[in-house]
Amino acid sequence: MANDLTIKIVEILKNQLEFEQLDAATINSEQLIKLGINSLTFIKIAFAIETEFGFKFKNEELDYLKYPSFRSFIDFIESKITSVKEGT
Amino acid sequence: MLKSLEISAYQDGYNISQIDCINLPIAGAAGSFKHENYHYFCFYQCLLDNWTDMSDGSFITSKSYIFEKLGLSLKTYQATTAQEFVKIIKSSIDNRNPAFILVKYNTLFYYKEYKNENYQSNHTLLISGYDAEKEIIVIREFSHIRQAIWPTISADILCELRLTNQMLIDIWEKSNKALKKEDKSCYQSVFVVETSGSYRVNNIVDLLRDTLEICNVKKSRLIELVNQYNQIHSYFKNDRFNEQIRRALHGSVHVLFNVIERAPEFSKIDEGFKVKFGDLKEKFIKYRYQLLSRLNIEALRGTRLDSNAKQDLIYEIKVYDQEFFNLLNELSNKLESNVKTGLKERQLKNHALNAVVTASSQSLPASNVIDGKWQEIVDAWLSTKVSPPHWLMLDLGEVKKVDRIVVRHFNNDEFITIDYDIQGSNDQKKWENIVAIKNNELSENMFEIASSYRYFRLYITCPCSRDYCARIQEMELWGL
Repeated sequence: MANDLTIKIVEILKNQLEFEQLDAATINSEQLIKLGINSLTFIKIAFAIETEFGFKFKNEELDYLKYPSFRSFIDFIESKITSVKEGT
Repeated sequence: MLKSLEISAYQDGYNISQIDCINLPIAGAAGSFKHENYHYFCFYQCLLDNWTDMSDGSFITSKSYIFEKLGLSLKTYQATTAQEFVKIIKSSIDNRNPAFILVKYNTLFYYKEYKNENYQSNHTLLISGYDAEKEIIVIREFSHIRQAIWPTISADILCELRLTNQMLIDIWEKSNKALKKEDKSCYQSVFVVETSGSYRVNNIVDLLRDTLEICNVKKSRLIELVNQYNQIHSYFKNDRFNEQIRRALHGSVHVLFNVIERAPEFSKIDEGFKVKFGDLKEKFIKYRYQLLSRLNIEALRGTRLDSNAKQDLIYEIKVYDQEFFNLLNELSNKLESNVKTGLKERQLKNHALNAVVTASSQSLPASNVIDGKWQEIVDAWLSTKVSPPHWLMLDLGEVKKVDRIVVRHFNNDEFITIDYDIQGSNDQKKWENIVAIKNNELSENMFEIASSYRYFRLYITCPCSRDYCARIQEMELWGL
């Protein structure tokens, strides 16, 4: 699950940002800002994720600086998907 | 020989997420006359974009408006030929005045969008020097390195870049072709910044006073955006639009707080206020960030704001804006009062310097408390080792009004005077307490009072924790 999810999210990022591939170390430890994400691209990415996975970001979840690393962002999305599935 | 103006690179300045690339070099031009003008210029730009009607004004009108505040003026020179263009630049530098021109990014050979016909954004080049023999013109630029170091560097620093005359002429001519169609006021124009003599804003005190005068919370751009949201929500799909509103309504707000915090006058404000200021800064910036993110994603989702949601947002914005301006008002009052105190201080005299000093006993002379020295223990009055109370009296020769009393103790916890009264009298018989000090732990006590007496004395009941001796390094009686 986590692996497929990671691949999907990396794909979404690739549509918005300029990079070829992300290695595991970058995914696990880098901050979103280091991937070239800013306040504007983050909103586009968030919207693309909403469309792909069928959940909505809350207002306070739209700040990319809230996520200490790319991995923590993926974990957050995973928890949102799980709560959508469980109907919570 | 190179003739060049002294302009800071402003590494402590701002970037294009806060102030746009047209205004940052112009701020640098303003800074060539006085370093802080750069910051004040950016501050005003943010105010104009947020709480005034001025952002609708023309390029020249709005720049002139800010320059006037700073004691500067903007002169526009028309050049129809390349020779005239270079001549104007040389003459402006010869007169110690910086110049700037409006250009198109796609005419800059060192920029990544060079020759990209679809990239029509404007930019400003600040011109700060020339070398007639080598035919070189010095500009201040950041866009050539923005991609390489962004976002690790926080400011768009004004790097010195030396171009041949022909390089700059080429940029100017190509840009004019485009400007001719869209902006007549900048077509073939060279803008020169000069001093005008009289300024309105010279420091943070002036700046705040003027801010409170010119800003109108009712003209909030952010409220206007929320009001128009349903009509213009599709604009949010445009990156340029998003960048502009984020910069004007969120990024620039950092500048406001920063300009205030960096002022030397702000460092003298009480800690309690600084904490309050810091808290509002965080809340205010975060609120605007989240609101713009919300409007942006709602637009992508295709949702509109219903009238309740709109009213709620407008209410929130008003509350934050009001809180912000109230805080500026409070700060302005504090700074004004500090200025007054400072002025008064310069006029106050230390009457103690001319007093006759006596004491209940002396191991070191009582006159040491008015000798202007208090670093060493030998600079002090020291009583003999008799049981307290001790007293030390200053005779001013006549009744004088004293506004401030300063008592300096030896800077060692064991020798600081613990309990004492400051008393006043006109006949040495009837003494009135001016201040009673208990459990003092400070090496310097200062009291703002308004007492008129001929005699002032310290009546010491508990001299220190070490022994029975009283020690006073210095006593000052300040008045007009």
